[in-house]
Amino acid sequence: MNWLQQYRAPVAFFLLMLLGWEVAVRALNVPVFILPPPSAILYALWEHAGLLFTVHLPATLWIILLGLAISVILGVGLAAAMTLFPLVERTFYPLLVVTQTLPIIALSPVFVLWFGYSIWGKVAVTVLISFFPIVVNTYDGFRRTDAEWVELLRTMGANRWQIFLKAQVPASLPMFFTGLKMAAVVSVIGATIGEWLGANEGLGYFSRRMAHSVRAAPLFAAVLVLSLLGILLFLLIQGLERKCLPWKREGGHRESARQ
Amino acid sequence: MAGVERFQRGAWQHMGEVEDVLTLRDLHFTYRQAGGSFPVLDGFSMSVREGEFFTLIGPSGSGKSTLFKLLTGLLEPDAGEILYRGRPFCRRLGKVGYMPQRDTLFPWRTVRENAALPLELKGWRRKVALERAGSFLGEFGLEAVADLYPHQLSGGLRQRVSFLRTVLADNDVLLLDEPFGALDALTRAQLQEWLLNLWQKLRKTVLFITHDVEEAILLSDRIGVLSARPLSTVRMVEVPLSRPRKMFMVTEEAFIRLKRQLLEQIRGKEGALAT
Repeated sequence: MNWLQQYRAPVAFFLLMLLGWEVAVRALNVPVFILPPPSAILYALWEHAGLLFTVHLPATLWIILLGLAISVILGVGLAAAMTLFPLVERTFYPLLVVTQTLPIIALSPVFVLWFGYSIWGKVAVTVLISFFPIVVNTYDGFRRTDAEWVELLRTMGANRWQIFLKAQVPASLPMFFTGLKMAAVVSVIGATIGEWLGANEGLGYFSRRMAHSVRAAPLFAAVLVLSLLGILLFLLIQGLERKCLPWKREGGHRESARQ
Repeated sequence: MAGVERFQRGAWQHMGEVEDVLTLRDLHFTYRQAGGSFPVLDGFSMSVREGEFFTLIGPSGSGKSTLFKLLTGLLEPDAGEILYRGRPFCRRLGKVGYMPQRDTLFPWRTVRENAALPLELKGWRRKVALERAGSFLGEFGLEAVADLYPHQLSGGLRQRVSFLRTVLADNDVLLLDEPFGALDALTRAQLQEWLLNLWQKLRKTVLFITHDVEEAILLSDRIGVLSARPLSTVRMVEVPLSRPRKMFMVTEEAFIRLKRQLLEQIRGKEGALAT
């Protein structure tokens, strides 16, 4: 009930948009292979449901989960190393930005070349695109830890490692989760690009096949599933965040301006 | 303002030869920033006696907080000496209890966990540290809120937790930097009484900073009135009130006389600052 009230506006807008789309496509006689109406997409989804949900979705999901797991390990590890060792920061931070300017679409065939049609080529594309938000956000979280906390810990005789563990790690958790949510959403894109270029299953592969045979409705259906997958991952991580950060509940933020 | 009867806290104070816990000798310190250098201490000397409640009072921006950072070891003086019981006090970090102005409790830790933090830093096992911290909660009036997070507490309760955390660091000397500055008058009065009560039980040396003349008189054995920046002299004033202190003492004649004297001294210095 509460949930429904909170999301009433976006849901209503979305439904209205769908309705407008349906009406416009029918009224203007847009050919189905250019832009199928929502009803046709839903029908295609139902028609291909078996294949989509038992073969292609699990394949893509597996790539995403592997890619995200590797991104978290790599991203948090690098962020921690950059925080603790200035030399690592100076060396890697500029390179990090470079990785994001690489055109991933162009790079993906290289990965296919290296990893063949195995799952690892697609995982590599996913990692390349999704580890960036994790590193950058987690690193910012580590760095922006309140200087007063650090000073206080030092007056208690804490060493560098204790300051990191007791202040910087917990203080960065909200930022880490922000990064993870962003990573989850883009990891869907990464996995799709990976599959688009070299795969024999997965939602990206399915989309490409449908695109080549100009079957817009099933293509849109696959895109719909991908987008739902992204939303689902996002909500899952949000739930995890709530569970892990009980002190953030009830209006959340640390009141820095009381008095 | 002489008179030995004002000391009621143990025979050793009558003997006159009380050991100095902290001695600052001819300290110099200058902040150097891109915009220029700001001398804060210029040949500053003073000492704090064993077991006393000593308060520093002075115009804002007079460098009181810098002094505390030097004492905790966060900063090192450019010249001069800091002595602990007569010996040079090097590697001070971790040896002086420090309670900052803002409570700076960790929002992800409950009251009990925040209090246990200094014990964890000393390498205590988490469970033992929490038990030990828990055993103090009752006396500090925090039992009911032991498992709440800081954002669920009032400002007064937060300062109590912050003080307990400082005490559990288990140092002889506690530096309290305007701990009640941000509280409303009622809560402040309540906490002053609470602090006095605990201080009497804990038998720690307290070095306190405040802007509030009444607070200084009510709490302290001695008050140091600071000069304007850069700090060079501190005028020592003994407080001629008996212990235990009570809130109603603010209406006593000795209290009012001392208050007037202190206010004049501070105002005189602010005047000097303005010219």
